[in-house]
Order: sequence, then C-alpha cells, then structure tokens
Amino acid sequence: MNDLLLASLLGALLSLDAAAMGQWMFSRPIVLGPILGFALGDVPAGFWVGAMVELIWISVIPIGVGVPPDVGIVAALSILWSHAMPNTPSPQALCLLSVAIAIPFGVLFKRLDILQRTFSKYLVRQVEAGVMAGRFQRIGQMVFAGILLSYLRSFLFLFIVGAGGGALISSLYDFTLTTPAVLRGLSYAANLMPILGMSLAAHAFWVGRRDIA
Amino acid sequence: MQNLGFLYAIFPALKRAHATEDSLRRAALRHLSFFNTHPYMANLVLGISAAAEEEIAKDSSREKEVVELKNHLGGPLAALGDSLFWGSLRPLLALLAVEWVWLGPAPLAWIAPVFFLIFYNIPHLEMRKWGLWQGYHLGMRAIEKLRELKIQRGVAWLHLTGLVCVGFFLLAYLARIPTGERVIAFLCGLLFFLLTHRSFPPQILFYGLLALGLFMGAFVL
Repeated sequence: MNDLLLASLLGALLSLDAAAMGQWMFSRPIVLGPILGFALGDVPAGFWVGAMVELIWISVIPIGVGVPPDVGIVAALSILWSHAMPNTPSPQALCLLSVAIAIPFGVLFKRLDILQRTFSKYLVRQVEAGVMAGRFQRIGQMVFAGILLSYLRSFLFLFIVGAGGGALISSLYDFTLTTPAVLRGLSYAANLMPILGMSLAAHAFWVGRRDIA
Repeated sequence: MQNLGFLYAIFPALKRAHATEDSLRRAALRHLSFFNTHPYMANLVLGISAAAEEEIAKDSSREKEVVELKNHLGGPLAALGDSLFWGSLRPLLALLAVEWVWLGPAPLAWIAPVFFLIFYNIPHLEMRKWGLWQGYHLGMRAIEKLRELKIQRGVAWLHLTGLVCVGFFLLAYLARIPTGERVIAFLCGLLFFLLTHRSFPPQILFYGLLALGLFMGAFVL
C-alpha cells in the first residue's frame, strides 16, 4: 500500500487513543513511533522520532491553558516524512529536522479541535432528541459518529499535510546533506535531545517531590 | 465533554435499574448533563451513579442527588487522576522508555514501548476496575476507600523515583558523550530547567536547542 495512505490510516487509528477512545497510551510517540516505523519499513526512524517527540513533551499534562500540540500527529508526520530519508551516517539529524517541521502542524491540528466541539454539541442534541422519543440506540450511534469524525479528521490531516510537506522535506534534506555545517549542527542538537528531556522531567518531578506526608 | 460517553457507559445499568420507559428516559437525560473528569477515575463515578440509579428507581424523589454527586466528584477526581497518571506515572515510565531507546542496545529497543505499555496499563486498568467495583458496591463510602489509597503519597514517591532516575540517566548520558561536550551539555540542562521553571513551553526550548545546534555547527564545530 502507498506509504502516505498507510501512515495516515494507521496514524489516525492510533491517535484515536489520545482522546476519543481508551487512553491506553497507544497514541504516545514512544509507542506510535515504533509501530508506524515498523509499518513503513524504517524502524530506527520510528524509534528516534518517537523518543524525541516523547522527550519534548514528557512533562506536559493535557489540561489547562497552555495546550500542547497533538504529540501523536507530530510523531506521525515526522515519521512519514523521515522514513524514506536518503542514507546518511546521522539519521537522527534528519529525524530532528522533520520533527521541527512537524511541530507547527501539530499546533494547527489542535486548533481544529474547536470545530469538533461544535459538532459534538450537535451530537448531544441528537441524542437528547432520540432519548426523548424513546430511541435509545441514538446514544451508541452518536458516540460512534463522534469517533468516526475524530478518525476522519486525523486521517485527512495526516494525508494532506503529509503529502503537501513531502516536497518541502525532501528539499530540506537535500540541503542538509549537502551543507556539512547544517548536518553537523543538527547532529549536535540531536545528541543533546536527551538533556532537554531530562531537564523537563526533572523539573516536573522536582515540583511534585514535596508532598510526602 | 464526556457527558455522551458517560451516558453510553452507564446506559446498560440504567436499563437494568429502571422498570418503566418514562423513568429510563428521565435517567438518560439526567446523565446527559455536563460532566468532566479524569477518564480512569470516571469509573468510580460510574459505579456510584449506577448504584444511586437503583435507589432512584425505587424512590424518584432522590433524582437530583446523583447529578449533584457527579458535579461534586468530577473536579477532585480529575485533579487526583491528573497528578497520578498524567503527572507521575506516565512521565516516569516514558522517561525510562526513552532512555532505554537512547542508551540501550539498538536491537532491544522494542523493549521500551512494550515495557511502557505493560507497566502503565496495569495500574491504569486496576484503577478502572477498582473504581467501578468499589463505586457500585460501596456507593459514597467508596470515597473513603479512595482516601485510604493515599494517592498523593504515591505521587510524591513516584516523583522522587523520577528524580533518582533522572540523576542516573544524566550520569550515564554524560559518560557517553565526548569530554569536551560534557560541560556544554550540563549547562544546557541547567538552562532548560530554569527556562521551564519560568514557564517556557517545551517546543520553544526545542527550537532553542535546534538553534544552538545550528550555531555550533556553523561557527564552532
């Protein structure tokens, strides 16, 4: 199957776990990354991207004001773009690059949430009407409709952005591989990624350490 | 916006509790009211509500109680679940998994997501099961049982464990990178810690790291 289609179908399915169904953590980059990497035939890229994206938002709680981008979408886009990367001694550098490009799209995706809320209100009204008329199967139908909408939204986003970004990423990869300074720089940054993750995790744990009563 | 999901989940219990369609309809509409809490802790509310509905079926004057109950429990349970699962368990396990990918042997990298999924979902599913079971059988007394779990203490211990792990991984990581880079790495770590403390969002720090890398690549390396 076409890589883009496969990545979009599978990525959207795993992303459902983030909010629509389950929260079993299949939508987390550290899980979604390797799975997508395996499906697309580039397991190392899946692990690198998964680990990197998981590190960046390791301490973020999905509530409150500062809503983070959808980490699953960021990971899925990054892997889609980086799985077919040209051979290079530093794949992490190229993975880092695709993550950097994917993040703004993850932010954009979260903004689209607002459209979904309007649809959710419509679903609830449908259920109300159904219940009042005694048609209780409406409940299950509208829950299913909501899940389907979430899936379509993720799938279309991944497919469109994945396709559209492909050309940009290719040229960026070419530029990076032909400009040693950039490649060195990205490799350096990629090697420092764990420090970022550790600092963020340390801060999150530090803040919470005190409540042993 | 979990009201629809809540109704969907509790509906079989409503059907069992309410004998007349009119009563069932009122119950269904009742549970369409706004509800929001942590998804795993919601099971406690589900259990308690299912038990409450059985009471309401016998004595419909108690209808308002269950909605009030949901409103009261939603917020505190959300805070509890957020701090335990999103704020402690997940970051700790994610840190371990990521560090395994980064520092462990490449062919065994698959252990990371498997480990993460197993050790996250065991407590997760236990909480769901516990909540539903205790909520249904004990009703509001389940809240006392919840307090007995001393989740806040567990959270603090998880955080301490996390700090120890960070220390360990920091040493392991610094040992692996060339000596010249160690100082810079450590300073970067301090800088990120401080900036996070000042509420810089993680993606900004990420782009900052990227900029640092490009700078190093262009002028230093």
